[in-house]
Amino acid sequence: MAYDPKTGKGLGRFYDAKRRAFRFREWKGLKDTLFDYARWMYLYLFMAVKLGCRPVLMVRAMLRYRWLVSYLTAAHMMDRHTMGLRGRELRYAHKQFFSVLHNSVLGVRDIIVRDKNLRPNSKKAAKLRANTIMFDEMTPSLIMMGFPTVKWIDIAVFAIGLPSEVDQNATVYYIDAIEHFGLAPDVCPEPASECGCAIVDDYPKVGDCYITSSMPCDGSVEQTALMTRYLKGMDIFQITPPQRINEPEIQRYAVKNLKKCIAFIEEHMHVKWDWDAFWENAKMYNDTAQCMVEKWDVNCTDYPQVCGAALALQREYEFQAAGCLDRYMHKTDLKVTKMMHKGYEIDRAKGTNKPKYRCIVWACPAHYYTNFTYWTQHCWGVKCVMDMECMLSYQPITIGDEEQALLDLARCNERMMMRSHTNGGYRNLLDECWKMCEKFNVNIVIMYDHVSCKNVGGLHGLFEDQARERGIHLIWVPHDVMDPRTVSRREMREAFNQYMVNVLHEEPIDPTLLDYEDALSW
Amino acid sequence: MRELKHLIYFESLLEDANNELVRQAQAEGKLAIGYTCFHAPEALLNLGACFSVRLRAPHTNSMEMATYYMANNSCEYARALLERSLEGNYAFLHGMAGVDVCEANNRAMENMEIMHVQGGDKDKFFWCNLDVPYSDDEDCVEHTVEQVSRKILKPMHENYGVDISDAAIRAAVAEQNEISRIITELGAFRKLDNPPITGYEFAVLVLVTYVCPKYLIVDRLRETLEEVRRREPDAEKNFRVRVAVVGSEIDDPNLIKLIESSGALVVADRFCYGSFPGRQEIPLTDDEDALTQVCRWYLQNTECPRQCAAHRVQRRYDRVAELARDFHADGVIYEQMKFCTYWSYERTMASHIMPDEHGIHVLSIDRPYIAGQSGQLRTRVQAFVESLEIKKLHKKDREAK
Amino acid sequence: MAWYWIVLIVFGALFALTFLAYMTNADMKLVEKLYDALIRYHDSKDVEEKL
Repeated sequence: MAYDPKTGKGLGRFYDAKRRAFRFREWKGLKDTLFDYARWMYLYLFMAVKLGCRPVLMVRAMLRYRWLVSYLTAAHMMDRHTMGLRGRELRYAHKQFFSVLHNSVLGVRDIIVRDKNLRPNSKKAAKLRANTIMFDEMTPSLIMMGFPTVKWIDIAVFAIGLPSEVDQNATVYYIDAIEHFGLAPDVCPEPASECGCAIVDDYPKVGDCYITSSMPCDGSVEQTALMTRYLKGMDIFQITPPQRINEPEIQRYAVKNLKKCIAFIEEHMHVKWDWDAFWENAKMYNDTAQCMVEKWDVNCTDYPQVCGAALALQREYEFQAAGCLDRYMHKTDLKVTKMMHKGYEIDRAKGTNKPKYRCIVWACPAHYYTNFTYWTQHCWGVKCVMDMECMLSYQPITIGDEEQALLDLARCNERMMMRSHTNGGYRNLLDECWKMCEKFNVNIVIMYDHVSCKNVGGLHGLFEDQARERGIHLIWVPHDVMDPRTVSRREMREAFNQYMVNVLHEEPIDPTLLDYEDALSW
Repeated sequence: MRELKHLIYFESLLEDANNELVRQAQAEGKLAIGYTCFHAPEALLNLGACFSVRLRAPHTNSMEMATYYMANNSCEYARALLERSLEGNYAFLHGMAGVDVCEANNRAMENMEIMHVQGGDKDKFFWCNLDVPYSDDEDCVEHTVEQVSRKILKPMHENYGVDISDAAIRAAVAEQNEISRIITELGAFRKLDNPPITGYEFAVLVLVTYVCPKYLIVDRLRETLEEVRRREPDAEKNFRVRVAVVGSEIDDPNLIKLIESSGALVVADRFCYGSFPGRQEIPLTDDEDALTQVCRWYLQNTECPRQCAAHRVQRRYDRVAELARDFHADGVIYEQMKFCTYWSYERTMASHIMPDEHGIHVLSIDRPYIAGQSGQLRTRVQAFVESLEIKKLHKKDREAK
Repeated sequence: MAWYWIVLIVFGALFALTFLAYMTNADMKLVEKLYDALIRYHDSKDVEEKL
């Protein structure tokens, strides 16, 4: 435990209301501090090797793209998520988060070397662009399993998705821009930020064609319409998959839609779908899905291992931003799963590390507060054993059967982030929540109350009614995904504090975390 | 102008979803099928003994129950419908043709379904959530046909014994086309320099066709058409500018009245519950089954911003420009139901694209569900009218020079 | 002085320096200055909002 009752020193002392950075780093004991230090060094060395070799381009990119500035705070992101952790949990978190940063650093490098805005006259950059497809967020990136020679870059993730999780104020400027342009402020800030980034022309031009999707929500549909106009003149394919994903009858259309996307890539990139590469990559996807399932299984027990954001964020990025095509992430998955099994056996044998409270996290989380569940763990002893966002596609792809594999691929896309729960009817969101409570043996649900989400919000009352009937503590934590000005981190914490004090009559484990100001912090 | 003979009667039909004609049809053994969106193919809800009722929640005040069940930033239209259903106002229905087209509407429908708002004695009642594709190619058409067949036609037939044959579909389409022809002809008068029908009157007539059994209103509509043909407009125009209204649900004709009382005659109505595209004829040929043709027509003619494929987005702007030109509109009012995500984006984009690319002046507004008395809205429309007048004057001056 | 002592001293000094930077969070405090300067630069840019 990071809190020392004798000295009264806890994790809250690292926050400084007047600074973005922490006051200093945590002393975690000799072994863990040295481990943390080593990982910190490794992160900087890795960034220096991969990005430092192009210093001029990096500086130009920093001056061209506002969102890129947020990537400077990568080490702080790591600190935010590892603060207070010890032993194996610290190691799981480091490995999981580093794999996300590893993918992102390489992604940034790939962006700057081919960006038309930064290198308008470079023949090399043009050649790279000719072999690159730009992707929108929530597009079926797994499709690239069959195109091993074509590069793809998810511009929305790199410009908006990841920066918003690294730096809480990263997308505020883009939200203001689109609202100034005329958009009502009640819509979800995520697609709004992506649109804001478009109207101030802050997307890198890294490919010659663009694939976007109508999924997973109304805001995303309209973001697609706006992005299509922003990229007018470029070859664009809008994948429009079905909505009622629980119905077997819709799969015929889903597969046809997917095949059209494949045909578009074949036509525009002058390549053929490569089944051999697909089988190989599908095996990798199957491995990662299996690792995820194993993590879930262990977390169902009394001795959960990989919890909180370390569980959720890594899977989200592995699936969505990397399309399960990142070998480093795959390797990390296998390593962490192995460590996790060992850890579970040790904890079970010793009967240690049983959480005080277990919870699951449901609904769309706040990008600007990805470490919220670490805070609940450190402050109140409420450990998050499952996060809805990582409950995405886990069904394996059938190897060797082409038609079945395409059907599986369509299903994977239907079970992508958000879509798996917010599409297809209330059963996927409402009923599934209670099923997961039972499966993970929890009676606390941290219910992220995304104030601009009309989808989850549309079931608000039914969640309340049914939780009461089941005796489940539904703790609503309001937030506005990417806009911390609507509901600050502090207000999120306060909502949770209120419930713990007034309903569960609990005392905080670390009182220094009860209330502190971090509006300026990244 | 002289008051239209049936206007007060038509207005009275808009006072309640379960209006006089709905009750009459049910007394005659007909089955009321509710729906809320253009994407539920209206023509197919009028097969055999069935008749469609597009749901409205007139005179909505409090939405407290619905706000508890849905978020307070959910579309007010969806919340108003849920509130009314929880109050038991839609218990007269025999089925609900819902669509999973927008989040708010879909969730409202799901809340209704879970809370059994149809009442306890409706064992044949059916709910559905059609999966409507976001584009309009032949794969999408095939998908829609499957959805409609399984989720609407099948329960209609199995639960109520309704004839869902090709001939029955053609008969239902013919009935709707007859209504659409009348409305189109009535609407065409608005192209005239001094139209013999106001936007408000037209809105009432169009709305009635959505919420009443068609066979019970067609005669009065024909009569009204004859009346308008002969009607003499006032010698002096009682409007200052002409506008087209484009946007989301307007099921409250008082909003049109408010716009017209501010000096802008509404000459074209491209909004949900308007005549474009909802009251356009559905052409059928003999070389293909009617169901596929109907599904294709709805998919290819929807003007909902959820259709995000590039060609559909462009088509929407072109279509509004075309309407403004055909109906000689001086400007376009883009309106959105408050909290509607689709129209919020569409309105924002249109307010830049329409002036820049089509030279059309746009007033961009968001509004509550019941907006007919909004002073703020009136002020904004009045300001728009004045700005259009000034622009017209400037144009005249330039032409004179 | 033997070469390995020199290497050891260099590495030791490097370790001490970097560990000090790590513990005091000097890296992020420096990044904070850079971040603020870059954001100020972006704020000062005249950006046209267009579609």
